[in-house]
Amino acid sequence: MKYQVRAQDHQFEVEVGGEAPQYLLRIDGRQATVDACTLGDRSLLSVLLDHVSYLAHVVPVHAAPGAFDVSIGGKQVRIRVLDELAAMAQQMQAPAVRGRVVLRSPMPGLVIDVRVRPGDRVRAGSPLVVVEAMKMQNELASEVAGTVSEVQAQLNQAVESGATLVVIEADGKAS
Amino acid sequence: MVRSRRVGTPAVERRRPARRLRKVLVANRGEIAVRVCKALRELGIASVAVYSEVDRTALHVSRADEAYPLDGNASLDTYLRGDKILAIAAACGADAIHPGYGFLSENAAFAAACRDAGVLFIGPSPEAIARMGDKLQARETARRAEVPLVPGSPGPVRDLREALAIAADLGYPVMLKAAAGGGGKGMRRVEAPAELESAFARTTEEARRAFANPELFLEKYILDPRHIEVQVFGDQHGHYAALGERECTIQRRHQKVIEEAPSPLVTPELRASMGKTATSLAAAVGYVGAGTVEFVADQAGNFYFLEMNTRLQVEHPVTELVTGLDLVHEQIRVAAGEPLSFLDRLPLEPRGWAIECRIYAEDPRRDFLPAVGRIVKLSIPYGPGVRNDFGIYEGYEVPVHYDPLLGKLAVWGEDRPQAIARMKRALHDLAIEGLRTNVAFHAWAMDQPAFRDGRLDTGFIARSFKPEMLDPAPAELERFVAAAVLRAYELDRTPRLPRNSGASAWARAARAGKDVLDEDAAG
Repeated sequence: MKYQVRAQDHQFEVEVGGEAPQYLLRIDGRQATVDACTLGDRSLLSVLLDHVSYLAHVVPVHAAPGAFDVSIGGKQVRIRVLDELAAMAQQMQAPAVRGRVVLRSPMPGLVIDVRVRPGDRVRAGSPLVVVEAMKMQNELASEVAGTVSEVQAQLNQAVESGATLVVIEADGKAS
Repeated sequence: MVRSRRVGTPAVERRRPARRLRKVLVANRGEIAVRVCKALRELGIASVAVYSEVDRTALHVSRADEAYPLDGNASLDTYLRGDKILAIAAACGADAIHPGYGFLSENAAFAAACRDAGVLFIGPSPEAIARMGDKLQARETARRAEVPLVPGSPGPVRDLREALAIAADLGYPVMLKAAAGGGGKGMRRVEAPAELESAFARTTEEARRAFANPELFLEKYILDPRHIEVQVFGDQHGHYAALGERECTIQRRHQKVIEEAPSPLVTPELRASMGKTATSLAAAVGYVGAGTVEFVADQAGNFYFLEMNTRLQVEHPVTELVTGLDLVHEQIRVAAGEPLSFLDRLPLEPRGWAIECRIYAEDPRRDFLPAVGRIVKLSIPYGPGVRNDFGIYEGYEVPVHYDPLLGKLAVWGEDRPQAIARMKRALHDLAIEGLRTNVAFHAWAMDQPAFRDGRLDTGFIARSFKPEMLDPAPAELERFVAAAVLRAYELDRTPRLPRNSGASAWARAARAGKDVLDEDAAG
């Protein structure tokens, strides 16, 4: 099988063959022998990559088909693995609408202050919302300069991680 | 149960004969509640846990001999409700309450309520807590005991205008502190007059919410400061002792992250001088039990009183590792009226070197924001010189309501380099999967030349750490890629394989699951 793999800002072409526990990998043309087996739980992999031993915890990301969160030695990286068909399909997708910047809650918590209203002008760094989680007040600021187009955050509202709080139309980049 | 009520409020605890404790209620949660339960079991004393609704599945509940629910989840409705906890203590016949750290541990009114109810509070007297727990009173007490002080406002700051005037006199940067704060909460460094208004409002609000007391005071900020604290102990027989220092300089937003004992800065002479100062302060308030006198030190070794924490510290294990004492045992014995067990060993000199890393549920890649989730995989390191104090287990759901501390990893070595090497090894062996933690951050810290050389100041993390430093190097990235691709490959192959076709054990295991992707997502 051939895969297009994206990890951080890097792109890899990977070819895999074989069967557990012996695999043959070709990463960007470089060949490697791999011995991999699961340890008690299929998300926990003991890998010998050219005999270099490491433990990897690999979990498919439910919301993003083809994405895996891989953690090794406490470091976690999201890896996107696309087979050739999926890679082609993705290239044909239209680019995302630019100019619309969404502030999402980076953690579950309680909205304890909303500093902006629709129509407000904000600068990069302007405080938008304060979310309290685990006894800490976290001031969430705008990453761009622009105009507030939507405020979904409500005072004293409990929000989940990833919840949309504020939407900003960024200056200069509007489509 | 002995019921006694004292008339008046003596500043120094009266001597009394040792009493036998049979049952102790632990008014806390998380790793410290587990730690105290262990000590109680070792001492042959029954332990009683209390728990909020969401904490029914927390580790401390199953480690205790008995457990009683507290309705609700918010700290204010549960672990901060002294009345509920005292009612449980009375109903279950507990002789004493161990408050751990945080929550009610430095609440003088609660300690007084325990005394009124005839339940022993394992800690100092309400009077000592009141004098040292309130930072302004503590400064005044320290000043009278001739303990050196950082220049600051003489009392609470009334309003922003007064704050601006005092800050201008002291010179920026200044530190805003909640009068009732502690443990790094309710503190802000202010660089310039323009920042003071917003900082003043937010710190006041945090102080009001967290400590029910909005009073703030101002202090001069010492440049390149180190945070060094001295563990003290007092008993009911008038003995006071210092158990050496801990260096807690590696902090992030005034929260300690890495602690060690002894301090690389402290010479035997400085240790003796800090110890003498700290014990004189303990003696000035007739202190009974475990306490910590926190100092801010400059790089030349001048030290100034910051505050006294009238409780067991999070980082007490490093002192235990270099002294060989069990501070929780000592707290319980002293509370029962026994004299300090180590009087014949004074002055205590540290043996070897200990380092502790606080393991938090937080994402160092995203400004250390708190993380929650289920721990799907947990592998705790052990082996020579390694100690763990954790409040979690595999399968545990970390709740959003409380402090994100999962536990503490501590190591002991013959000297500092060996302790660092051991910590690196232990961090390598520690695996917590399912939510973000700061484990990789600690591994990064152990490799920094400034840390290895002991050249520390509290700005170390803010100045040196960039999230991308935790990115795997390009060569290392191949390992992540290989693991993800193998997983994708096995998932792709699984549906096409006929039954019992000699498919890999891995593929068969995957097929045996009802729905591979869904099950994984749940983890």
